[in-house]
Amino acid sequence: MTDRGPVVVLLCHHVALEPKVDLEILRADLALRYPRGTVHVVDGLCEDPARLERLIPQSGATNAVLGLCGGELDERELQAALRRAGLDPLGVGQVDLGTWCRGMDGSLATRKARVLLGAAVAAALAFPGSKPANAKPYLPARLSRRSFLRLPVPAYRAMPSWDPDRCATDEGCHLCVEACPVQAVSRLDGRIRIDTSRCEACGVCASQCPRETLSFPGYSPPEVEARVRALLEDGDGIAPRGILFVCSKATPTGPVHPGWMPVPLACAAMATASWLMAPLLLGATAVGVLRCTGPCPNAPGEKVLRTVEFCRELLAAVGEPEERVQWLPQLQQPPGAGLPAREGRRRVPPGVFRTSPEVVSSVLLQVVESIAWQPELDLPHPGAPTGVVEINPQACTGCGMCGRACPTGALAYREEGGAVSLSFEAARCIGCELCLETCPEGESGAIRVERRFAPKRLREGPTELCRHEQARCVRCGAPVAPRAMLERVMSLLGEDAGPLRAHLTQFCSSCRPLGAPRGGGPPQA
Amino acid sequence: MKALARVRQAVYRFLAEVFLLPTEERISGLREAATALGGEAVLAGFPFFPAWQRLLRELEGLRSAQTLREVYERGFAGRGGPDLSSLLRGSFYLGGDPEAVAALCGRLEREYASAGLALSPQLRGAPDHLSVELEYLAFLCGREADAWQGGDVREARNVMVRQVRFLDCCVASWVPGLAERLVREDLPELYRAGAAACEAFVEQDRRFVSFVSQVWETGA
Repeated sequence: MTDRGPVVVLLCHHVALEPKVDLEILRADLALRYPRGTVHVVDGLCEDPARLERLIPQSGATNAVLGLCGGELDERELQAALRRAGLDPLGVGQVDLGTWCRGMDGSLATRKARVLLGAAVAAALAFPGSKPANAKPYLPARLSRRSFLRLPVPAYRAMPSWDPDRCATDEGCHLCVEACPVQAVSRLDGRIRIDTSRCEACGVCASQCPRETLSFPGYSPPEVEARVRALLEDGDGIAPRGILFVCSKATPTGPVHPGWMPVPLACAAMATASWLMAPLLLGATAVGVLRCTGPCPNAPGEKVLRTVEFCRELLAAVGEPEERVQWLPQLQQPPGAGLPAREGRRRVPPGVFRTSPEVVSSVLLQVVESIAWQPELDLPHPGAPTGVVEINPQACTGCGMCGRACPTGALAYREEGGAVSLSFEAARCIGCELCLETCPEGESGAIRVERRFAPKRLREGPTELCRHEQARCVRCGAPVAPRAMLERVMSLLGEDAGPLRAHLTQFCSSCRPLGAPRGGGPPQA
Repeated sequence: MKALARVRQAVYRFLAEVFLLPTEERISGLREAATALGGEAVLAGFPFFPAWQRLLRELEGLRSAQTLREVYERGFAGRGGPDLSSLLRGSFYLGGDPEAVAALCGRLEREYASAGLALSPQLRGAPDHLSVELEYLAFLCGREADAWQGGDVREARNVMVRQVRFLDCCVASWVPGLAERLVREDLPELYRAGAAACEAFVEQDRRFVSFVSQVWETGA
């Protein structure tokens, strides 16, 4: 437990019936492991959530975890009860023990329940808090127009909110706009707007933002990481263990092997390559992705499939079985069935689930290192979260627009010593192609971007891609522009440019009016 | 829906009163209203409930209306202290562009006039004051409740569309700035709690009303 305040664990008494969890053992074990927290078994928790109102304030808890039997639960009543008890419903963890411990014998079900609840406590402790902008109303059931007059109070679920301080939309970044599968995110007047009514709260925008500008309480990187670590670190005789990223709308239909440890995501498409690979560093035997059953309104399939494919190809390329990462795994089989056990868990510092490019590339490099370091590996793949930028110095004019557009600082444009230079740091590149989009010489092939994973490049640090000499103002000596750019402009103006040609190439913007031909006004071509 | 509209009306009115000159009579009225609204179970169904409870606690713990009044006069009325009076006005958040300020005030006065309202003498010249904008929303919620009561769903929906439009272009666009600013000012906690409650309620209500309109349009 950290200093965030105690977490109360509330268990529905039905979990003693199905699944057959021994509540006394579970309660004693949880109380022993989390001495600052409190554990209560609540009769009829799912039928009457109002009971929580009394128990939570008594415990002095600042957050809660509910161990549920999987029965019907009125989400609106539950949220109201939690608010009256002084808690933020968006931070309260709900663990469906009915689903994840189903079909196990009493001892196993109890141990599995303890691992799941312990992980939910860890996630609850990492809850960053929510803002008014994070609450999206929804109705748990369809409503006819006839019942419109008696519209019930909606339930609320978390949705991403935007933090302007870290956003690069001013520089032209629109990766969140592109990532949104339902066109709910837009740019307006240098701000990002999220249309609440369109937003499906899938969180893809948040997981794709390299600046971590969009916060999504309930599914934030610290919460996901805390849960994954707890699921893998918690010894309870359950082995092998695999991490299963589960879409919030997905429910496993058959029995689930106890080794699969569920990590809820708003949408399976939130799972990035580093999220799929980090659990392998933390001791998981395998990692699976369980998408929602039925047609997905967010249509994330293709994107997440590409990501899974990349992870599998990367593993195969370094000599590891690609089955360590699985799309729709066979849940009744143990995780990584038939695969050799992975070597001992590595000591991995916290923060590996952050979405900044340096963290993403570092996680992938650590995975490669943990298996077999192959500096010469070069894996081009459309699902790669890293990219490589190449510049054609003959076509590049040194205008620097690519550097200004780069949302991660992978491309850096510098003016120094009478020249301009463009450097590239592969560890920061996400292959987003915003540089290509903004390059005025893109059609001439000045810049080339490819999504690829190249360990050697990732370790290199910043390297200079091109350097252009600056033309100097004949009047004051200030830089005018890179010579290559001026030559390009002149070639566009053609031979007839006449006095304008000399005017533009010889004077800086401050001296141009002073250096203008007599008679004032801009020189005529 | 009718009952909910009445509760929303009462909350808007309550929040509007918090940011007016705190006379003994007004504080006592707020306390009475707090007791009445405190029993409204439906409010716990909304995310702004924690901010609302915090405001009620601050009001309950208020020792002297006289001291609060002095602080208000020094700060928000700009008499003898750091002038914070502009913080409560939407035009402050337009970045000092006089044309935009004039356009905003004109638009607001036309909006109020179109609903058959005129500013009271003590607030004349301040159509963008927080209390005025909140009071106008309370008025719209009242009209919505009347429409529901009369079974006029179309009219209720029209009024809701008007509420969303007003929230989007006015108070919802600048109340987050006010709440952020008041955290930094040396003011009684009541005003910080009031601004936080306004921010949470306005955002929640904008989303709720848009949501109801969407449900009506799609029937789902």
